[in-house]
Amino acid sequence: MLFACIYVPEFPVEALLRIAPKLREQQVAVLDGSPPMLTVIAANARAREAGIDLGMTKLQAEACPRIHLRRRWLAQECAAHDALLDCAHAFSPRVEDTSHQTTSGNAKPGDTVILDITGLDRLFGPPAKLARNLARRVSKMGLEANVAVAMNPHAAMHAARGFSGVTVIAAGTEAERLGSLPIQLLEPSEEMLETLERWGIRDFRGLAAVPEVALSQRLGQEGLRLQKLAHGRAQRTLVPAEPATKFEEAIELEDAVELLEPLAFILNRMLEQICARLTSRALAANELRLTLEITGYEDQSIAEQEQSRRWHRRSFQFPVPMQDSRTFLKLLQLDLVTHPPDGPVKKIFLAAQPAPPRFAQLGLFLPRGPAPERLELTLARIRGIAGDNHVGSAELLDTHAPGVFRMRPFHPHMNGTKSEERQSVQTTALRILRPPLEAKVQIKHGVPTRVFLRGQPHQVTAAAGPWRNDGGWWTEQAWTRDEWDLELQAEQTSPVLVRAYRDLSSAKWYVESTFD
Amino acid sequence: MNTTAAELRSRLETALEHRIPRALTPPQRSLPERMPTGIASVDALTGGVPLGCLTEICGPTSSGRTSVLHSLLAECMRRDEICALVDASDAFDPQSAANVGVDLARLLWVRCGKKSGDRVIGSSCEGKSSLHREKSFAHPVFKSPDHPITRSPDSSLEQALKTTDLLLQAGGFGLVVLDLADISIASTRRIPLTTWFRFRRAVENTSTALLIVEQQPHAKSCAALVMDLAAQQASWSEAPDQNETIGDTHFGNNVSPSFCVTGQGVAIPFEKLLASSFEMPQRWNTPRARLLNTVHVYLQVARSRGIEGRGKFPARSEVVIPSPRQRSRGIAVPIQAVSVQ
Repeated sequence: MLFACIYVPEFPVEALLRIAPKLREQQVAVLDGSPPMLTVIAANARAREAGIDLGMTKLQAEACPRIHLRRRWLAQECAAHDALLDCAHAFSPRVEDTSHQTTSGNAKPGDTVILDITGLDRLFGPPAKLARNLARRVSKMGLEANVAVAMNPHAAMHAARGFSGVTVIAAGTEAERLGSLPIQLLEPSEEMLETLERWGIRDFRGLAAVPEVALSQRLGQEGLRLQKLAHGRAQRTLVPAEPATKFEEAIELEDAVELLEPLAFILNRMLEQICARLTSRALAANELRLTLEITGYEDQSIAEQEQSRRWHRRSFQFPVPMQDSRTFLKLLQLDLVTHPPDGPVKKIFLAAQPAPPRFAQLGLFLPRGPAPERLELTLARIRGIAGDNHVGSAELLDTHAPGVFRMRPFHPHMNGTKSEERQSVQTTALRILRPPLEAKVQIKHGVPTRVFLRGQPHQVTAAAGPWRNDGGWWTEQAWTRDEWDLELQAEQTSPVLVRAYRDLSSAKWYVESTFD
Repeated sequence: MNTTAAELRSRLETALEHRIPRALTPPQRSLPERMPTGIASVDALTGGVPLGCLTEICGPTSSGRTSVLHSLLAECMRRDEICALVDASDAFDPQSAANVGVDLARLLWVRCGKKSGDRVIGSSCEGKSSLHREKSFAHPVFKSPDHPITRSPDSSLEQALKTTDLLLQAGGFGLVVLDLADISIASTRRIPLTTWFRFRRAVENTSTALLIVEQQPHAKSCAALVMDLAAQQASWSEAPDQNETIGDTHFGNNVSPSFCVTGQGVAIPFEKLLASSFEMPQRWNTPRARLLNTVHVYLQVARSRGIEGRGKFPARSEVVIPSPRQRSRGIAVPIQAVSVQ
C-alpha cells in the first residue's frame, strides 16, 4: 500500500491568501476568538519573521507596523478545504479527509488530506513524480502545501506535517526519516507531553528508542500507540470521503468596495478558483449564484452601518454548462452594470451549480447556430441595452385573451436541433400598437364612419365587424370587446388597415393593431 | 512599340503566374446563396433573399412588409436556422408569426424602446389590464411621415442599431431582422451610411441574411436587394342577408359554414356561437356584416445584385395576402402572383 498526504501549513492564512494572492508578499495574520479577546491563530512566514507569534492578542499583533490582521472566516476555509479535496480526487478516488481526526480534539478544519495512491504508478508515474504533480496541482489552486508519500497513512501525514515541500519515504526507512520530527506532531495529551519532555524525549527518534515494556508500564497503551507512530509502523484503514458537490467561494473584504472595477477584480479571482475546481473534476457549471453583503458607508456610524446591512442576490442560469471563467466574469460584470448593488460590498459569496460538461457532435450538414457562450454574452449585453424583460423569445399562452404572451429566456439550444414541422397558413400580419391607441369614433347605423386619432380625423372607407371577444369574467383580467377591421383614409396618405375595438367595460374605443 | 494595357497585363500575369496566379485580375465575385421567402410570387421576382448580404423591404403601413417578413422567418425556421428580430418599435405580433409557422422558441425577439428592469425574466405577461395603464404615445402611422413626434424616440433607434451590431458580431444566426417599419423617415434618414456599411461588412462572407424593414430605403449601395412594397387594395366580402352564413354565400356549399349572422345582424365567430349568443347587446344593429378578405400589394424590386436573367428593373408583381379572419374561418388562400410586368 502507498499513501500520499497533502498538508497545508497555516491553513487559515493560506485560505485567505488563496483568494487574495497579492497579500502573499505581505505580513498576514489571522485572528480568532470573541472580541475583545482576539488572538492570533495563524500567521505566514513573513509575519513570523516580523515577530508575530501564535496566541498573541490583537493589541500585541498591531504593534507590528505593516501587519495585515484578518478575522478567521470558516466559509473561506471550507472553500479552501473543498479545493484541496478536489485536487486529491483528481488523482485518486480513495481520499480521506482527516481534518477532524485530531486526537486532542482541536478544531483544525481541512488542512490535511490523505489519498490512497496504490497502483497509480502506471497512470502518474513513480511516487516521487506523482507527489510533485500533486504539489503543483495544489499550488495552482492557490495553496502552498507539503506533500509526502509513505507506506502508511500516519507516516505520510507526519512527514507532510513535519517536512516542507515534497517528501517520499521508502518502505522500511520510516523510523529513520521521521526520527528528527518533534514529538508534538504526535499530538500527545498535555500531561503526556510534559512527562516526555521531563524524560528528555523531544523527537520521534527518542520515543522510538524507549523499551516497549518500560514505556507500557509507565504510559500504558497510549504510550505504545505513540511509539508505533514514531516508528512509522502504525497501520490503519483509510476512510474514503465522498467528493464534494459544493463549489462555493467566499471572501470578506477588509475595506468595503464601492466600485464595480475592483469588485470585478475580486470576482475574477473567485471565478478562477471555482473554474479550476470544476475543471479538476471534469465538470462545468450551469448556474451561478452571487450574493453580496452590503454595508453602510464609512462615514456612517457603526449602528447605522449595521442597520443598512442587506443582501444583494443575483442568479444566472445558463442554457448549456460552461467552465470558462472569463465568460462568467463578463456575464457577472454586465449584470452588475445593469443591476448594481446599492451600497458598499463587504462580503462576497459565489456558488456554482455543477453539471456534466457540454458535449456536442456537430454534423457537416446541420445548420450552425451561435456558440452558446458567445450567445449568452451577447444576450447579456443586449439586456443591458434594451432591458431585462425585453430580450428573449415569446411564448403564447393558452388563452383566448387578445395579445397575451410571455417573454422567456432565449435558449435555442435546449429545444433540440430540428424544429417541428408546423401547419402554416399565409395571412396578413398584424403590427401591434403597445399600448393601444385611444380613439374617438363616429358611428352611423352601428358602423364606424370616422375615427379621430390624437385629434386627427380619418375617414372609414371600409369596415368589417363587429366580432365579439370576451372571456376571463371569472378573473380580474376579464375582457369584453367588439372588434372591427377598418380601412382608414386620412388626407394625403395611403389607406391604412387597422383593427380597432370598443372596450365594453369602459365604452372606449382603441386602435389595437395595423395590418401589414 | 505600341502595347495595349490588356496585352501588358497579360504578359505580366504570365510572368508572375508561377508565383501569383491571376495577379492583376480581380477575383470574380460568386453569386450569393439565396433563401426563398416562402411567397411564390416574391421568389419568382427576386429569387429569394441573398445570404451574407443586406436586404431592404420598404413600404408604407399596410403594404405587406410584415407579412413578407413573417413568411421569410418561417422559411428560415424550416431550414432549422436561428433567427433574431430587433424590433425598434415593439410592434411584433407573436400570434401572427406563429400562425405563419414561425417557431417562436427559435426566434430571439429584442423589444427596443422601453427599458425597464422592474419585471423578472419569464414573468412578463401582457394582458389588457396592464396595457391600458400604460401611457399612450404618438404613432407615425397616424402622423405625416416626417412628423417630429414619432412613436419611438431616437433612443429606441439607437438601441436597435446597437443590438443589431452585437447580433451580427456574435454570428451564427440564419436571419437577423432590423424592424424600423414604425420609425419615422426623418429618424431613419439620420442613420449614417457608415452604419449600413458596417452591417454589410459584418454579414459579408457569412451565411447570415440581414433584413431591414423600413418605410423608405436608406442603405443605398450597401443593400444587395431592395423590395419596395405598396398597398394596392383590400377586398372585403359581405353578408347580404340576415340569418345567412357567409360561407354559404361567398364560398359555396363545399366549405363548411364557420361564421354566421344572428337576427340582430351581429357577426359572431361560429365556435363561440353557443357561448356568446345570449350576451349579444341589443344596441348593436349592424345591417351588413363584412369580412376583410384579402390584401393586395404591389412588389417592386428597386435594386438587386446577382439575380441571373433579370437585367431590367424595376420589376413588379402583385401579391395577394388573405386576412387573419379568413384563416380563422379555415379557408386557406394561397399567395400567388397575379401579374408580372
